[in-house]
Amino acid sequence: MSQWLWVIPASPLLGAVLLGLFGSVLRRLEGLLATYMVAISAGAVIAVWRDGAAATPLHQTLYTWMQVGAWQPSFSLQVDRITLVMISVATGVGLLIHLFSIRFMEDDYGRRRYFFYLNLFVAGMLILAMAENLLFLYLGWELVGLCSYALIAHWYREQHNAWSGRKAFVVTRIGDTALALVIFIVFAHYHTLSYDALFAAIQATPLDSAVLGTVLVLVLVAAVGKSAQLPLSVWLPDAMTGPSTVSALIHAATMVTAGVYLIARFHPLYGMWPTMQTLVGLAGGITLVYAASCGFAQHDIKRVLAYSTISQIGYMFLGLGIGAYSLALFHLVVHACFKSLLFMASGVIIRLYEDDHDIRHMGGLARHQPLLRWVYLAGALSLAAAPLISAGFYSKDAIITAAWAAPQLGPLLWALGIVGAVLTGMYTFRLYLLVFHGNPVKTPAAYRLPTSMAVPLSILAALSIAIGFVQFPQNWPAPHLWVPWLAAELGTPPAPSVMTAQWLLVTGALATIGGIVIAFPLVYRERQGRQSVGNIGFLLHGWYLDTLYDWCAVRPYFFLVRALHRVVENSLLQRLGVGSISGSAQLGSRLLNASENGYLATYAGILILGAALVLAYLF
Amino acid sequence: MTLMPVLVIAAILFSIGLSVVLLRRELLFVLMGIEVMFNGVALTAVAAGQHWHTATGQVLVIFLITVTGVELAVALMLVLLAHRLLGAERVEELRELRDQEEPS
Repeated sequence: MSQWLWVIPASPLLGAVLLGLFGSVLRRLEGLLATYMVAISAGAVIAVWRDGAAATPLHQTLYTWMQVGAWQPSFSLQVDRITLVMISVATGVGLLIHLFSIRFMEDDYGRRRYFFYLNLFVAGMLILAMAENLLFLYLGWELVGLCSYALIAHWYREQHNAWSGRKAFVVTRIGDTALALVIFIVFAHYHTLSYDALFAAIQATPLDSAVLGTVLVLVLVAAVGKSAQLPLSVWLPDAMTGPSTVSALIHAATMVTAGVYLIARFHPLYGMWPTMQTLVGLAGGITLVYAASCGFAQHDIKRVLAYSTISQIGYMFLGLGIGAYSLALFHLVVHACFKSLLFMASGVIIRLYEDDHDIRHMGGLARHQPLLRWVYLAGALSLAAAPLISAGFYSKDAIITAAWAAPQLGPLLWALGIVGAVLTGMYTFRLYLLVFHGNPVKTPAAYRLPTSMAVPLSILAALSIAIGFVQFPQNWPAPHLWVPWLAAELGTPPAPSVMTAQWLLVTGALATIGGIVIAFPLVYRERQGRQSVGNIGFLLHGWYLDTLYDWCAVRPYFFLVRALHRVVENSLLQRLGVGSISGSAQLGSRLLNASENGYLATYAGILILGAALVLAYLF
Repeated sequence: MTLMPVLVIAAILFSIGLSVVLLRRELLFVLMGIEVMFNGVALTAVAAGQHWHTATGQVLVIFLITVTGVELAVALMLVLLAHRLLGAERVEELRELRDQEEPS
């Protein structure tokens, strides 16, 4: 299998190339081509699963990228089990979203561009996950960042969308820079960038604590930027201006989890410094409460989901921070399933209401779209982590339970998780009830879901419920497949004692149910137009974080730029610098121009004068 | 035979030809001026050959006369064509190959 690993990233890359070069010939088949390319990739991933599921890591070196002395970064692929999880999500969910997109985007003006970037994105994500060294990872990291930018601004004809794309790009750039710095520091100390060699070298000769601390903080900043955690979370809610399918693939299922992957990849280093690890958990814990609180005041159906994504990734960071790496990855998989489902279904709902995103205008959709209602309910249950019957319960509550036994700050992290669980139940069911129940404010358009859209939704709905059953809470007489499967690479999560664990689990379940129950009266009040959560401006605007950044960073920056433009650019460079250069050039040209006047006698005279001067010089 | 008077005469011939080229405006006169300059050069060559007792100077002059004849044929043809096609008889009327005036 090792020698065929290249097929996995190469196939969507080829799709992107074909779409870029011959897209105009394909007419309406772009979607089909793109889908097939991802399907090939997914097939190759299945082959990896069948071939021992990467029990021993698979390696393939494609070729040496560049050669500088003894340093030879190469295009090398590595598939261990962490990677296998990531590429399964990227290709599996990616395939379903491609399939869904064929009909969803069929009348779009940028169809070819859309599928080009979607394929390129999948290729980038696969490179990111399969890279064997940090430099190759960085290539994928930047590639997905580029595609994210391009797809957020997909409907670029509206000014606001292009602005959102730029915002996402600029904000994530902070994290990208941090990752680049990590690469520089690590290389300066160890002269290698491939994971195995690097981690072995660090274990053998540890860095001094200042450098190690810098590296760990920078890795966290990189992950926070990509995964939209506090304080760099502001780009994700605005990223919702892209098509819903893009939000499903990039801003829910795959790219935003790259930060989780990065930290999981660096877990040997975080293991060396538990305080730093707790910092990761704290970042996740605070983010998840923050985002969940913002989530239930939003009117825009996609912004609710955007904040819920930030919140759910916060849970993953919480899992990483307590050393429950395998549970974080588990939640990543579950989240990818239900969140892409919710985003795609929301895309359909927005279509039904003629591009109206406001959930206060919706209602009673359950009668018109039964299938949509049931799949949405499955996704919502999983997002809210309804006990026993949803996958979210088995992944999220496992993290919350494990947080209790975390080496540092355990009860605090656990409490943050519980508060988040209540809030999650509230905003999820507020969303669900407002959209699907009650009396319709506006009548939705009649629309029959095509099969190629219904099938991916149904598959994801089934997964949102069933995928949790691979890892039941510990001590339950039921399958425990996930954690032992990853134990060799990621270790086992911390576990509270048996009795405590049961109580914690019950508390978590009650918190979720409590949240769901609170949602009903809230929605009732909101429908009557009374004071409810929907009109709290503080939460609606995300704690005014955007305004804060606007005043602290954006405006001073623009001021600086304008000042530089006026003083340095216009006065100094234009007037003095460029002015003198162009002035002397013009003077020279005018002089030469005068000599070329076409009078033969002048030429002859100058000729003679020249000859006379030469003669005078010679004698 | 002393060299100096001959050289002086040659220099005078050359200068006369040169001033004709520079000062006269008619194309035919310019050509004649060039011929006079050639003669000055040829006289120098003959005188130098005599001075050093070699035939080289005389050979050079014979070549020079031949080449001048050929050159004159071509040059006269150009003058004729300039007259026919461009209507030009004077030097200042031939100003096609000049830099355009500045647009501003």
